[in-house]
Formats: sequence, C-alpha cells, structure tokens
Amino acid sequence: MSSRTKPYARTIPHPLFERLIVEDAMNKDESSWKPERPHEYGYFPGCVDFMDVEVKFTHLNKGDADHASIAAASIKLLNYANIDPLILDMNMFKCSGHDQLWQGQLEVFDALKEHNMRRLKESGIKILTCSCAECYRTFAVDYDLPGKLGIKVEHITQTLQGRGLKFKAPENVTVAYHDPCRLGRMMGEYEAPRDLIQLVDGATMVELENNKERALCCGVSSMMYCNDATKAVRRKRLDQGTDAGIDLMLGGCPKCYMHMQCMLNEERMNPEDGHHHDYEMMDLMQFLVACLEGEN
Amino acid sequence: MSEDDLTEMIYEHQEEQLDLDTINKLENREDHSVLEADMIKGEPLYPHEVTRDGVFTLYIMALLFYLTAFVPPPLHSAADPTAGTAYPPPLPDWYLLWAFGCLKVAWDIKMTIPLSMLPFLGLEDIELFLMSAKVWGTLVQGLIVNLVIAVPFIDRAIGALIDPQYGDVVNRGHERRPVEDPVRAAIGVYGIVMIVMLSIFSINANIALYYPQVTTDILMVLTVWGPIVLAIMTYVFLDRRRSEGAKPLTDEERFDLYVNGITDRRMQRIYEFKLNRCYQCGLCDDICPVRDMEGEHELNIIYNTFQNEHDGTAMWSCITCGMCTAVCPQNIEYIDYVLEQRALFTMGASSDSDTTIPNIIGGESPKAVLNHE
Ligand code: SF4
Ligand code: SF4
Repeated sequence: MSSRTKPYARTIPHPLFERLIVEDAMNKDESSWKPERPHEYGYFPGCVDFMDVEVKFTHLNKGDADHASIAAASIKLLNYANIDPLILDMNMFKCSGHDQLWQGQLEVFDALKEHNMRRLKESGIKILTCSCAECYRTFAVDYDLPGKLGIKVEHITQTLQGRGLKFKAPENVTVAYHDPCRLGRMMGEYEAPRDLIQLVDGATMVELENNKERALCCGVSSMMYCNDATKAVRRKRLDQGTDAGIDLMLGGCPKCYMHMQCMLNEERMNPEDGHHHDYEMMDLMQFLVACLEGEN
Repeated sequence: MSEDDLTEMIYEHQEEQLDLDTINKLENREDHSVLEADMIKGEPLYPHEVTRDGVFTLYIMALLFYLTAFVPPPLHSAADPTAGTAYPPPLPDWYLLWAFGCLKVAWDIKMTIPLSMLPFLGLEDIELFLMSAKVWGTLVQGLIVNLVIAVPFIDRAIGALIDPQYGDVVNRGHERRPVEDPVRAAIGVYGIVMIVMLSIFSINANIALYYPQVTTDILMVLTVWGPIVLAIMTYVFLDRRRSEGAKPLTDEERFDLYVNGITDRRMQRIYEFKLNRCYQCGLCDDICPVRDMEGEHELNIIYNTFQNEHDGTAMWSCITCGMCTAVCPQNIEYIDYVLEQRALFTMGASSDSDTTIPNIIGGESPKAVLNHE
C-alpha cells in the first residue's frame, strides 16, 4: 500500500541528521534511569554535540564551525559559576524536537517529547538550563515544563547572569550581539546576554542596526532551507555587522552560529564572488570561555 | 467486495484517523507563544490615563467657574409650592432614566424578610423590615457604577486564579471580539439590555397613559427576565460561532476554497479565525525578511494568507522568525498559525515516508510502524 499522498503537500528537505533524529524518536526506549546523585541544575546541550560528533555536519559542509565546543564551554562556565549541572546528553535524552515541531511533524515531536518528559521526571532536577535558544523555547513553552513538571527552564545566559562572574578579553574587541528569534522575540529575553557581554573587560559592545524586537533572523528556518531567501537574510544581517565595524558577532543560539558561520565560510571559499565579511561569528558561550580569567 | 475495495476502505479509514488525530493534537496544544503575554499594548491607567483625565476634568471645571462668574444663568420666576402634583410626573433626563428606574423597581420589591422562613422563632406573620425602597434603590445605583469600575480588577483576580503565571495579563494585551469571549459578551449584553429595560420601566406611568394594556406587571417581568434571556441567547449564539470557527477546514472545503475562494461567511470565519483580527495595516509585510528578499510585490506572505491566495508556498517559505508578530498592533500570532497549518498539511507525520532509510534498506518506515500500532 502506498503511503499517504497529499496533492498539495510539499516535500520538506531532510538533511541526514534530521532523518536520524526521526529514527531515534520512533525507536521507543523503555529503560529506566536514575542519576548517581541528585542535582539541582540540569544542562541540556541539545543537538549540538550530536550534530558534530555523530554526523559531522560542519565537516560535510567543509565548514569549521565547532558545535561540540559550545556544550563544553557551557559546562565550563556553569562550573565557573559554582553550578554543578547534571548533563542531559544524547545518551539518555533525545533531541528536543523543535525543528520537527516547526516542520509540522507533530508525531515525531510528540514521541520525542514523551521520552524527554519521562527522562526529565526521572532526573529529579529543579532547574533546566539550555545553551540553545530553540531548546529553551521548546522546553518552556511547548513542553510546558514549569507547568507540567515544576521544572524551571532557563537559558544559560539567564543562569549565569548576576552571579558576579568576571571575564577579561584576551585583546580589545568590538562585539555585537545577534538576538536569536527564539530567545528574543519569542521568550522576551534581550538583557541577560547583553549583561553578560558587559561583564567582559576589554569588549566593547555595539548594537547592530536591527536589534532586540526588530533583530533580523539568521534565516535558519528550522533547518528546512538554505535557499536564496534565507541566504539573502543572512547576508543582510552580516552586512549590518560590517557596517557596525565589529570584530566578532555573538549569537545566543547554536543554529545562528552554524548558519552564519557557514555563510562566512562559503564566502571565504569563493573569494571571487566579492562578498566578504571581515569578522567571525561565535556563540556567546565560546566567547565567554575564551575570556575566562587565567585562561589567557 | 473485492480485496482491492477492502484495502481501499482500510486505507481511507486510516487516513481519516490520522487526520482526526492531528486535529485533536493541535486542539489540545496549549497557547504556544508567550509573545502576547509580554506585550501589553496601550497605556497604563496610572499615571497616563489618570493624569490626562485629571487635567481634562480640571479644565472643564475652570471653564464652568469662568462661565458662572461672567455669564450668570438667567433666573426664571419662582416655583409655586402650592401647585398640584403633575401627572404623569416629570421625568429626569433620558440618560438618568435607568437610575430613576432603579428607584421605581425598588418601590415594587419589598426588602423584607418574612419570619415564616425561620419557623423555629414562632413568629410566622411578622415581616422583618430591612430597608426602605428609597435606600436600597439608591444603593443599587451605586452598586452598578461600582461594578463597572471593578470589572478590570475582577478580571485580573479571575485570571490570577485560573493561570497564576500570566494572571496579571488577563486580556493578553488586546481587546477581543465578542465571538472570542462569549461569556464577557453575554454579561455586556445583560448590562446594556438591563439599562434599556430599567429606562423603559421608569416611564411606566407615561406608557400607561397611552397604552393602558402595558401594565406595570408586564414591564416588571420584562425588566427582570428580558436581559437574562437575551444574555443567554448571546452566549449560545457566540459560542456556536466560536466552536465553528475553531474547527479547521476539511480537505474538500480547502480544495473548494482554493478553486472558488471564500464563498460563505462560515468559511471565512473558519479559515481566518486566527488572522481575522488583522486590519491590514501592512506592518508585518513591511518587516518580513522573506518578502523583502523574495518578491517585491508578489510574495505578500501574510496578506496573501489572509486572502487565501497562497497555494502553500508562502506557508513553507516563512522562516518563522516572528518579526511579523513583533510589529503587529493586533498581536496576531502568525507563526502559530503557520505551525498549525504545517502540521495539518503534513498531517503530523514526517514527509517522504517512502524514502526513509529503513525503507531503502528493506525495513519498515517509522510511519508504517506507527500505523500498525
Ligand atoms: S501587522 Fe497585524 S494587523 Fe497589520 S497587516 Fe499584519 S497581521 Fe494585519
Ligand atoms: S515569521 Fe514568517 S511571515 Fe513573519 S516576518 Fe518572519 S518570515 Fe515573515
């Protein structure tokens, strides 16, 4: 029997790792789990380590974006802030399902959600912190963790904010913060990342032309496309960075980092196109870890 | 029945089930966005409105003082205290008739407690006098005015009870159309009809002069029951419309919509239920990066969605950045709409079931596994 065919349905492009996530979601895992000792905080790295370690997304792409380092940096920063988080990694958890939800794959999302909810319940944590803006939104709004399990969900910038941390940039840099749409417009958090950047000695923060509520999107579109429109959106955003004369663009979401860095990389590989942006994209966590005292 | 027919039937049944499941899931989802809660449009009562109203009131008072001082009103001849009572009695201004009505209704309803209600006292035929009609008729007027003042506070209190997280943002930043909130609409209708009926009741003597068959008793019944009946009718009507509007279109209707456009009001309500708060200011379209990049005038994403002129392309080219909602004065959650429509298009499943990895290597696709369960 043939599968469903809908005349108007449009095929969503499926990168390899998305296919794997779907397979992962549909393989029911009924085992139970108990952390060795109780933790107050849980840290959810999300798919960043998965993408890099298992699928080598950036390597397929000939890029040099290193996602796994976002997770490593986040854990290091949490430890620096005297937080000992339980790492909710891909051994026990599955992808949060953000992309699947926004691509309309409710079934896959529900399977992922069910698994993760069960695991979160078993983990016994009080506060869940994510370095990914998409995971943050998904856990807080679509899973409704605060309402369903009484677990507070935070973005890592909110966790680190106001803990008296001190950073020092290795050299003087001008940075700009790129608001991810999931963290900014959807969750209304604009200040926590900016506060963290202000703490860095030697970093000057400038605002891009579009910021906060009006921040331009990186165009990642739930990993559905890399087409002319999304590239144009990215280029416009990167151009704003050049206009502001920055050395570094900092993002609060690994997807922004991946998407922007991919573009920068592509430009570098094709210098004859004449598009060039003279700076780097970095995740805020990577930047902060590079600015830790004693590291440099 | 041939085997093919049977297969077809089973297939159709599964399709239907899948469709219903998706719709069910979508309907059971909670509010998915918190944008609205964080964006309260308008100005706060204090200090903005209070200052403005205060200044305006003082200005009017100053004007009145000035007029009374420099343009004194003419005095007519003195009233004659020996003149007989006029019949029908003189009436207050039309906008105060409802207050007059309160007093009159009070006149006809005795505020007494018959002690026969408390048999153990043994005072069956004595009635306990509570207050005179004058007192409670006046109290009722004050009560009504205070109720109107208290509405926002009551609203907040209820909101805080229902949803402690967003309790202080009950209306989530925007006014609602009656169909979105049948309960409040019904209460509003009750109030308005009550005021009209009280006003009519207050001129019962004048009515009786011209239409003797309309007795005070009839008016009394109308005043008490009319508003209640109309409020219930409003609620039932609006609630039906609401449940109708919340239902997604069926495949046939969707096809019809695509071919013929909107043909009846029900369709319009359903299809655009989330979007029809839009008053087409065009802000969303100005800010949308995809439209900005892709089509100068052609790919008018939101406008086209509203007009049902998209064929699904716009739906899939949206990058769900949320900028449209951020600028929308009506707080229309366009991305929520996109999310739901996408889920309905794919029926909640991941597309390309046939080309999944297990299928290629000879196993069963996750979709098929799911169907068998
Ligand atoms: S911004 Fe809102 S009200 Fe204005 S056209 Fe867009 S959807 Fe309609
Ligand atoms: S969410 Fe979609 S429609 Fe709205 S501004 Fe972004 S791309 Fe345009």
